[in-house]
Amino acid sequence: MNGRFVRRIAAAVFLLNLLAITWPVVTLFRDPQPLIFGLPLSMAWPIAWILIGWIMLLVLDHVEEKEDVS
Amino acid sequence: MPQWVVISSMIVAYLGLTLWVGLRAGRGTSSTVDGFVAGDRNFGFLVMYFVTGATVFSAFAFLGGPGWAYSRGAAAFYILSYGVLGMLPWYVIGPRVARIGRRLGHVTQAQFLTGRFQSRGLSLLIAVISIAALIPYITLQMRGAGIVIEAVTEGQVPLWAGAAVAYGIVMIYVLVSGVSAVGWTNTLQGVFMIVIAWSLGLYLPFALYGGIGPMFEAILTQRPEMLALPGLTAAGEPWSWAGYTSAILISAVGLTLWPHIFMKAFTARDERIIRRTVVWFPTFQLFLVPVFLIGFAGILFVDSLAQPDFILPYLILNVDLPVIVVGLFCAGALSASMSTGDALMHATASVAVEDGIRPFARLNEYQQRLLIRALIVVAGAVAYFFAIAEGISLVVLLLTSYGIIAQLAPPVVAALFWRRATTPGVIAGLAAGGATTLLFFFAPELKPIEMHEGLFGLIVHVPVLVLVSLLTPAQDPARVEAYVNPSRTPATNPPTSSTAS
Repeated sequence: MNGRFVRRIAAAVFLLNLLAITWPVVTLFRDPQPLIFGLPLSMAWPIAWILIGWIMLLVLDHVEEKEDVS
Repeated sequence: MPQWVVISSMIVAYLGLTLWVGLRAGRGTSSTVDGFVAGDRNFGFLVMYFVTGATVFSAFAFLGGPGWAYSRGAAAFYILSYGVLGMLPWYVIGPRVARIGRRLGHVTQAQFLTGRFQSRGLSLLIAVISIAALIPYITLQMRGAGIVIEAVTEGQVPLWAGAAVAYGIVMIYVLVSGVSAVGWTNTLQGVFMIVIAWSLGLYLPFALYGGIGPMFEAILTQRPEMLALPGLTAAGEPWSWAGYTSAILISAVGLTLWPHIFMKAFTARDERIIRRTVVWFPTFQLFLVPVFLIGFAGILFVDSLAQPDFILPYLILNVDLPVIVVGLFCAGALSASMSTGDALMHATASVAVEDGIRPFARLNEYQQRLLIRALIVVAGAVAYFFAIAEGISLVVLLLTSYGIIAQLAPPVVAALFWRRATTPGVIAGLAAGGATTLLFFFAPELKPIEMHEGLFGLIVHVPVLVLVSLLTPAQDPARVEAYVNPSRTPATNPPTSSTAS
């Protein structure tokens, strides 16, 4: 994967993240039900975005590190 | 042996261990301002990870987090939401700030900004803003420590004595070892915080409800309004979406601009370490999950607590827990308080000397270090005075200081990315943004919508910065390039803020 492509994907993911956790998109996930792994949807939603953000950062950093080396 | 004696012994052991780590940390660090304030720019990944995480998550998170979940329900999820987005800009900005700081000898945020926007007035303004925001923050940490010790020792060690002992220890290791002590004690305290929060966060729902799922099912049946976004206000009314969303936005903007966090860019051994710290920060952010589970565990277990921030100590003391668990909880809470408090005290004194005094007075290295140490004692004493005084709404002060601190975002972004930004533009923007924030804080009825006052400040700040910059002469291109293109600029220019007029 080339660095520029991954950086664009990362920018898109974090923009989606911002939209997903703020009004109006977050209103779609305001209800507590269904429970996901025992957690209310309203809590599982921001947790899911922490995990997505973490994975995206790991990928971005991995690609940039390879670029730095080469 | 009474329970409080056992717990007190554990507290003493924990404080002793922290003091030992803090005093040892200073070995090998040079006796210079660079060594005392920036750790000789030699922090590795492990220390940077824990410094960042443990500094961000304070007593406010450890006690306030469960308090929010207990009293305001889903409103607490805004704290879960902003962390990763708030830390993200640091992935881009942090390494640049570190590179410029290394080249030009910066150890504080104001030095970084006045290196490009030369003005002693700007340096003083940033120092005043920083100190005004940091002192209430230190006070909260001290109160947090005092409250926990008083609660678990059944009042045998009152708040004033608990805060004095815990922060007496902090003061000793920060005075002796500077930022190196902050780094290594935060590593120890960060481990304590994470282990204890996860242990208690998983244990309490099981002990009280038989599991996390059954706990939320029970809350859904009896108090469903607690689990629906955007949660409740402190008064128990439904919170507005504007309030919830603007709390996320202003917190994300302000997160890395707190001086005690921003300054850590100057401590990293290399730029790669800063990037890796950002990459792994979400693992620390997940620490909030068990913290909130503790708060939710209290909803059906405790009817109504006058001070919701006491829910965690209340549960600990009223659920039949082994005494060792109570002692460990105390160590975790003290860790959360002290790991933020030490960085705050160190930053307050460093900023006061480097940004508030040094631009106006010639000081040699020895005098600077002496003055920073003296001001650590002064900052601690002032915060302690407020911590033991009753009736001061520090949480409100702290939330407002977030709005003021967020006003440092446009100057930092302009310094790094906008060639046409000028010193008058930055000063005018800061003044307009700060004044707007304060106006809406003191006169909330003037707000057109229920939004955080800091966001109104930014809405005014940015156009003023742009307009005044465009109306004033452009800066010397060499100075601009040193910031906008730091990798292509020779190391010799421009002059640092200490020579600025």
